[in-house]
Amino acid sequence: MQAQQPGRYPPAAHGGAIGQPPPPGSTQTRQLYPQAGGHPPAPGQYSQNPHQPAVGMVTQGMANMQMANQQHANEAINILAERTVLPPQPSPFPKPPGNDFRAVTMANPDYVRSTLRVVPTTRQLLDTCRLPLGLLIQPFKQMPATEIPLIRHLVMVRCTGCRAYFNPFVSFLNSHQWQCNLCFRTNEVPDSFYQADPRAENHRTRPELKCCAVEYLAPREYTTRPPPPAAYVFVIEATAASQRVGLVETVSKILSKNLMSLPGDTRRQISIITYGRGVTFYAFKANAVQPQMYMVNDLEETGLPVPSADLGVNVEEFQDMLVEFFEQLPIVHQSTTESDNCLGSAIQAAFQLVSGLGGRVTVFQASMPNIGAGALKEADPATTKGPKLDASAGFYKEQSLEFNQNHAAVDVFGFGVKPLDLATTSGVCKFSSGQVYYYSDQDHPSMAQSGRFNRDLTHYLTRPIGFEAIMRLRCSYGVSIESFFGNFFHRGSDVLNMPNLNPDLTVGVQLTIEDTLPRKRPFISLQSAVLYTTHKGERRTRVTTIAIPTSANAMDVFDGADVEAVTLLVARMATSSAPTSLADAREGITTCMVDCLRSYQKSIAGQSPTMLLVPRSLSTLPLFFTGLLNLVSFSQSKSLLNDDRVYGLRLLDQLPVGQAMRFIYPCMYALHDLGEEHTTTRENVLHYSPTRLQASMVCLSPSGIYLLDAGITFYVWIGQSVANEVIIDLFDVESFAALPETQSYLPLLENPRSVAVNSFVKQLRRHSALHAPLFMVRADSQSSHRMLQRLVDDGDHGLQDYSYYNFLSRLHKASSGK
Amino acid sequence: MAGPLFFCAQLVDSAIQLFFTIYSIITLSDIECDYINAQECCKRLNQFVLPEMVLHGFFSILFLFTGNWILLALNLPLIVWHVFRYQKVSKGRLGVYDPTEIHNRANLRQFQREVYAKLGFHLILFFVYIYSLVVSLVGMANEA
Repeated sequence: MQAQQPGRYPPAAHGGAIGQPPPPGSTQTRQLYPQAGGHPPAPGQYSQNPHQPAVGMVTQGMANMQMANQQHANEAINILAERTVLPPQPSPFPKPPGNDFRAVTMANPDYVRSTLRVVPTTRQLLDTCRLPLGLLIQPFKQMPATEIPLIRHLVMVRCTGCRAYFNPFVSFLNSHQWQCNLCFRTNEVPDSFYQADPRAENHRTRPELKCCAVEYLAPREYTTRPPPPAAYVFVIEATAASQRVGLVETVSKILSKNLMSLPGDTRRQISIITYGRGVTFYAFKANAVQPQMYMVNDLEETGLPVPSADLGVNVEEFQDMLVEFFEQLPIVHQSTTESDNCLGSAIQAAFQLVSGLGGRVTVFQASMPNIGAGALKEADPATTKGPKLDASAGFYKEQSLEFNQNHAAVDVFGFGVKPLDLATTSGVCKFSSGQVYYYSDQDHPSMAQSGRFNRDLTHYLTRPIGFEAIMRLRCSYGVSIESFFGNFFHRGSDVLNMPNLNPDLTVGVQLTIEDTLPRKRPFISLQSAVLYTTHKGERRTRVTTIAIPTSANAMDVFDGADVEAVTLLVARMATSSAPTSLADAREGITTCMVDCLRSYQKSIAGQSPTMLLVPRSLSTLPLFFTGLLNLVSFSQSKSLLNDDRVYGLRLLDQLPVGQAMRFIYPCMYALHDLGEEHTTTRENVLHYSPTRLQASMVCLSPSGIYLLDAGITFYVWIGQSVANEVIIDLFDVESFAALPETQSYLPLLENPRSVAVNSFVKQLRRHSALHAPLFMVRADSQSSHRMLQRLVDDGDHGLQDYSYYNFLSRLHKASSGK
Repeated sequence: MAGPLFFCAQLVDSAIQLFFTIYSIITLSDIECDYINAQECCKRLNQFVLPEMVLHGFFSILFLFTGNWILLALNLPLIVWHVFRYQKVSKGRLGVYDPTEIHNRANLRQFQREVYAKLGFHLILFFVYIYSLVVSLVGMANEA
């Protein structure tokens, strides 16, 4: 059966490889969550422990390695022979050993992931395993209240030594004394703790001691100033370049539509600044009919023309005037022919508006700033060789530090009509916990008007926001923090300053072990506490505690590795070193993989000239690293624009774990046979789980339709010999030949197939931080190369430097070399 | 050969360099223990970068004029290192010590290693200058 499929790999020697793509027309369902009976684990179900690593498992001898093709969970597999390997599902944290912790609800891997689910006990063992130890936390991910209970009684029990919060992993010596699991100090339980909830029969059922993540209402001592109003400043470019993409018009339209959905209480205010050759302010006064325009042309010291109280417009009071203003604004700037851009001065002007208040500044940029403060020069192509990923001026970074001190964040929306020097201007976002959005020319000719920008901006304006956030990560004795990766300011050795918290912000942290972990504890604890102000002005702390079991056995450490978290942490580490040297970053990625394999072979498996043995838990790591090396962020291709590369790097720092993994290695699904057999019903919602295929041309059959979920873009590829009825059902045209070559939407028609496909696409988009536009391409069209480029397994498509097999053979040579 | 006054001046310069180095060590260990924050630390460290280099360069060049080739050769590696260190700083950074990147443990360790190496180097030079001062004093006494 399999031999008849065109281009299929011969089945692996032991047969039954996971994720073998079903021939089209079959109704085979792959169990996506075999351990949970085929259903994705419902929230709160992580108390079952499907992936408990076998602590203390006996390591196999050399002879057994030759027969390593048995499907035991902890065996080595020969990755050169097993062709189709697909990633496992995210596994929950294993519970630390001990009776006390049986009823604890572990932290949900949706928002916190650790690279190693079993931590080595000594530094030496960590160095031997060569896997990075670290965490990826999404501190403000919106979870239902059942997952993260809110505690309102203002009693926060904290350790007197390290100031850690009460968490499920403390040990109680008796009913009045507890021992901190981070610094091992004995503390008293205050009476107010028991008084706060006298109904609880057992203090272990209190939410602070049962759930790994809780949110406290912070008492008054945790507030440095009365909650400020939510202040939003929009800095819009009004030059010829921005007119070409319709920037002012689109932004005005979307802002005016979403005015009342901006998060905040009744005091929320917005300010508008437009800039071009000079900076223009708009003042709204209560008794005036129309807003006043003030143009400031002094670019060296941009001051406010009127007091900032007039420039900050209360949304409630001036709603009608604002709506009218947004209708007039595009008309005012319609015929502008300015080509100068004073972005730096505009940012300084915005700073004056938020200093003392805090809030958020949104910058819309369509060309490179060339006058005023922070002017940049376009790079001379004759003198620059190689990609320029480094900032060329420190002005924007300095500005971001000032914004930081005034509790404001800056986000940048860039439109790539011309080169923007995103490497420099995005510096203002990176350290003030802002984000960069970039719409390159290739995506859409009139990118500002495309649905993608529309949805991104609407999501950006209406998503929940936290202000003045500080995050502190505490580690138990023996574990220390190496460095943090992400968009925030690293203020102290374990403190991060985040003027704005958004639900998609993900913090990556690399940890290390100092010498040896204390022997009496079989687990390490990590606690992250984020203190922030909600948009309603409430001061809250979200405390997440994680406990990870330890082991002195290298095999356990390898088995407990979380392959997605490892990939993303390595990606972030490479991102921080890419601006200084791209070659070094690529080298670092490859070396990480080689070192890990070599150490595995040396310590456990033994080397073999014909086989490349990897632990089963890491079997998809080479696949993901191939994806990393082929990303636009790290690519060595000469034809890429600097701005695209820089955006690729920023995306790795900004996207949450799920979307970042799909960006690195896309998910491919067959759409032509998406039907009832792939659905499950969860809480009255139909949930689709079709088989996931390798991202390779080999899996594309000409008689099928495939969806490639590449994180920030979706591609739908239509094979040439697809059955006509499928095309009629999905696209409402007669046959393949009648389809347009490309199309940027999937029509929703009234038949079950089209409904299924559209619901599936909506389901994939549900938790994305960035809206992924959909491109439909015919197999024979010229633009199909855009989709084929993202097929990571193959090489030789211009953008791909390494194919998967190419990478594997390099690994084999490198790891068995010496 | 130079007179004792010249070597006195060199000694003073060496003492100043030692002071700079020790100040850097104290600042770096302060930031490791969280006594000061990143911006404060970098401000202090960046303040002394240029004066240190310029002072050291100036006094080393003086050896050229007095003909102490050995001492010049001893100081040359440090001059080269200073030049290399300064030009390695890319334009996008806020000085040699960048507050946004200083908390990276790997960076912190590298800075500390550099500063300890300079401490050792200046200490050795200090004693070498004392010796040269004594030799020149003895030489002067002999001539007188």
